[in-house]
Amino acid sequence: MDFFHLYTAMAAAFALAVAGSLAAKARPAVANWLAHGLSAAGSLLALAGAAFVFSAGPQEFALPGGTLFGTVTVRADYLAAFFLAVIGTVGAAASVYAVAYSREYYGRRLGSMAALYAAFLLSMLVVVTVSHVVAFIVAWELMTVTSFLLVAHEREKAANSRAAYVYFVMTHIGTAFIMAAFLLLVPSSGSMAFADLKAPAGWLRDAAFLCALIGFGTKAGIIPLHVWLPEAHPAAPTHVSAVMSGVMIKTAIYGMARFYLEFLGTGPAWWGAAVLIVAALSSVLGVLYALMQHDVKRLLAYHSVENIGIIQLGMGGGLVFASAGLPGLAGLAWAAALFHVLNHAIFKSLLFMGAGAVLQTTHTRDIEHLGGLIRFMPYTAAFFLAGAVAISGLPPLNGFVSEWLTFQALFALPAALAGLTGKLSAAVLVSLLGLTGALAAACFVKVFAMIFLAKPRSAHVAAAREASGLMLAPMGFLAALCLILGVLPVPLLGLLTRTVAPFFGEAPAATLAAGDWYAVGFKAGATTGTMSPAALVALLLAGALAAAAGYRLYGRAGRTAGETWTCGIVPNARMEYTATGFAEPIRRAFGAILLPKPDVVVERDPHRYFGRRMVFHVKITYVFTELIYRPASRGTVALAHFMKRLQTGSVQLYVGYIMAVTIAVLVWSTRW
Amino acid sequence: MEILAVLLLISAFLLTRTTRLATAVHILLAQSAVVAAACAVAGWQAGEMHMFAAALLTVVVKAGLIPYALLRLVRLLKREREVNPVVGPNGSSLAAVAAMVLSYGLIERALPAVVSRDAVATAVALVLIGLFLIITRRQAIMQIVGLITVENGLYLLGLSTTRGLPLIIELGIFFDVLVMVTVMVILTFRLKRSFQTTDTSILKRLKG
Repeated sequence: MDFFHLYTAMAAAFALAVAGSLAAKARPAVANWLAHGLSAAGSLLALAGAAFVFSAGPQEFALPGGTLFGTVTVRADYLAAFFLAVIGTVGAAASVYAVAYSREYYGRRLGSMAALYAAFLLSMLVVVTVSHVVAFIVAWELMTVTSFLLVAHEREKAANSRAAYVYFVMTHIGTAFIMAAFLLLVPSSGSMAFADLKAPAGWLRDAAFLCALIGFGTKAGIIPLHVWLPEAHPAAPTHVSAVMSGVMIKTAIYGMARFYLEFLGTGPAWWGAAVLIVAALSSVLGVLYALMQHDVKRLLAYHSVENIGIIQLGMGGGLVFASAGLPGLAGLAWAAALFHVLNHAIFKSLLFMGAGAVLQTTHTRDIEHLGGLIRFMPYTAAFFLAGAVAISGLPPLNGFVSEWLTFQALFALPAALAGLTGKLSAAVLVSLLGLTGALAAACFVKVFAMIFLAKPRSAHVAAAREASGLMLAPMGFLAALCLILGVLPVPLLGLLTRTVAPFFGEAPAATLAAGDWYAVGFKAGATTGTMSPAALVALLLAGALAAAAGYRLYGRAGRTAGETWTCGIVPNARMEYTATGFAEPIRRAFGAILLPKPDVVVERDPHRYFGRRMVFHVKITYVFTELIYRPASRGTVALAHFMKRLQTGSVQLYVGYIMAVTIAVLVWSTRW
Repeated sequence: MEILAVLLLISAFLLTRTTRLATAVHILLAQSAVVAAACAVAGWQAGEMHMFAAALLTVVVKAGLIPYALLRLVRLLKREREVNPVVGPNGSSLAAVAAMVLSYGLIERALPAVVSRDAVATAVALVLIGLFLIITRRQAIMQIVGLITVENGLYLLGLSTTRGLPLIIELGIFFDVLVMVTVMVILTFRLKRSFQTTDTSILKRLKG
C-alpha cells in the first residue's frame, strides 16, 4: 500500500459518504450510519496516510488528469502530514459522535447535512495536502461553502441565518486577501505549484505577508477579525461545531505556516512583532469575552479565539527568532505552536462534544439554566472535566505541555529583541500568556460548576439522561489522548522536531534532539534542568495513595448528610451562585476593557416588607465591534443612501450625469 | 461647408427656443436635411461615391420617416406642449451659446489648425445641445428631438474627421436610429394612453 492508494481510498470513502447519504435521503437512519461511518473510515485512512508519511518520508504524486494552470500535485511533507493527523483524529472522533448526535436531525434534512459534513471533512483534508495555488483556493472555498451551509442548517432560527451570513461575508473578505497573497507570489515564481513559489522582492513581499496574515487570520478568528466565530460555531450542529472549532480554523494556521515558513522566507522582525501583537490581543480578549458568556457553545467559540492567540504567540515568536538568526529557538517556538494546534483540536472538540451531549438531553445552551448534571451524566462530566483541565493548561494534561513550551519560547524572546521597548514588551507577553491561562481556568471553573455541580437551576435538567455509548466513546478517546499527550509528550515532540526541521536546517534538529535547548526540558541530560510529566504524575499518584492510606489508617470516619442550612428556609435553585455572579469580580477588574453596562429592573410589591422581584442584566461592550464593524456597517448604509439619492429615477438626471462626465472628459483631455 | 455648419448651429439654437412640439419636429427635419447636404458636400470634396448613398439614406430616414412618424404622433397628442421645462427658453439659449463657445474653445486647444474646424466644433456643440435638451425638457417628443440632435452631431463628427465611414457601418447606424425612434414613438404613445400626458416627469414614480 503506497501513499497514492491510501489517499485515493480516503477520497473515495468520503465521496461514497456524500453520494450514499444523498441517495438514502428518504431513510435517515441509513444515511446517518452510511455517511458518518464512511467519514470515520476516511478520517482513519487520513491518519494512516499521516503515519505513512512519518515512517516513509515525504510523499508526492501528480493528481491523475489534474491540470489546472499546470499539473496539480498532492504533496504530503511532514507539515501536511501533521495536519492530516490532526484532522484525521478529530474527524474520526466527531464522525462516531455524529452517528448518535444526528438522531436529533431525523426528518430535519439529515441526508443533506450528512453529505455536507463528509464533503466538509474531505475538503479540509484536500486543503492541507494539495500543492497548487488554484487547487488550494478551490478546496478552500469548498470548505467555506460546505461549512456555511452547515452553519445555516437550522435556518428556521433567524439567529442562525444571520450567523451564517456574517460568516459568509467575513470569510469572503478573507479569501480575497488569500488570493491576493498567492497572486503576489505567482509572477515572481512563474508557476502555480507550491514547490516553485517564491517571494517577490521589496515591499511586495511585505504586502504578501500582510495579505496572508489578514486572509488566513480571518479564518483563524484572530481579533479583530473574529466576529463571525462566536456567531457561527454555536449555530452549527454540535459535531460540526467540534470540527469547525477544533480543526477548520487550524487549516488557516496551516496556510500561515506555509507562507511564513516556506514561501516568504525569513522576514524582518516587524512581521513577528505584528503577529505577536495580534496574538496577545486575541488570547487575552478572547478569554475575557469567553468569561462573560452564558451560552456554552458561544463561550467555547470565544475560547477558540483565545487558543488561536496562543498558537499565534508561538508562531510570532518563531518569526522573531528566525529574523534574529536563531533557528534553534525558532524551531522550538514553531513546535510549541504546532503542538498547541493538535492539543486545541483535541480538547476543544472534546469540550464541544460534552456541551453537545448536555444540549441534546436538556435542550438548552444557557448554563444559567443547568446544574447538578454530574449525578445524571457522570461520564460526560468526567470527560468534560478532562477537557476543561486541559484547556486551562493544567498539568498533567496536554494543554500544559504546549503552553509550557510556548512559555519557554517566550522566555527567550527578550534576548532576541533589540532595544528596551522590545525587551519589555516581550516580558509583558509572557505575563499576558500567564494571565490568559489563569482566566481560562477561572472560566472553566465557572462552566463546569454551572453545568455539572450544585442543584438543578431549572426544569431543563429534570429529564436529563447520560449520553449514549456512541457519544461517550469518542469523548473518552479524546480525553485519553489529552492524558497520554500530557504525560508522555516526548514522542510527539520528536515528530514535531522532524516537522519543523526542514525549515530551519539540520542544526536546530540536532539541538532539539539533544534536549538542552530550553530552560527546563522534558528530556534527561538537559544542562539547565529537566522535567518529566510521567514522573510528576507518578509522584502525584504516590502522594495521593499515601494520603488515602493515611486517611484509612488514622482518619476518623464521620459523615453527615443534609441540606445546606439557609436560615431555616428550604434552599432552592434561586439561592445558587450564578454564572453572572461568578464572573462579576473579573468583569469589575477588567471594566476598562469590557465596559459592562448593568441593567437592573426592580418590580416593587405593594407590601413593602415582602418580596420584590429584581431582574439583573449585564451587557458588555465588544470594543472592536464598536470601533470597526459598527462604523463600517453604518458607513456602508450611509453610502447606500447617498447612492440612492443619485438614483432619483429621473432619466433626464441620468443623461445629465453622462453630459457632465462628457464635458469633464473633453475639458480634461485638452488640459485646459 | 461653413454655411452648412452655421445653419446647423442656428437649427440647434432654434430648438432651444421652441415650446411647440410640431415646430420642434419641423426644425429637426430641416436640421437633418442640412446634415444630409453636408454629407453630400463632403462626398463631393472627397470624391467618394458611397457618401451620396449615405446622404440619400439620411434624407429618407432622418428627414423622411422619423419626422413623419413624429408628426403623426404630435397630431395625436393634442394640446401637449413643453409647458414647464427645467430650464426655460432664455436660459436654454444661453446654455446653447455657452456650448458653442465651449466646443470652439475645446477644438482650438485639442486640434489646433485642423482643416474642418467649423464642422468638428459644430458637431460637438450639437451633441452638447442635444444632451441639454434631453435633460431639461419634460415632453417625451422633445427628448426624442434632443436625441436625434445628438445623433446628428455624432454623424457630423464622423463625417468631418474620417472622410466618410464605410457604407455597411452607416447602414447599421441608420437602422439603429430607426429602431430606436420606433420604440420611443410607441412608448410615447403608450405613455399618452396610460397617463393622459407625455410629461416624462411622472415616470419618477416608477422608482421604488
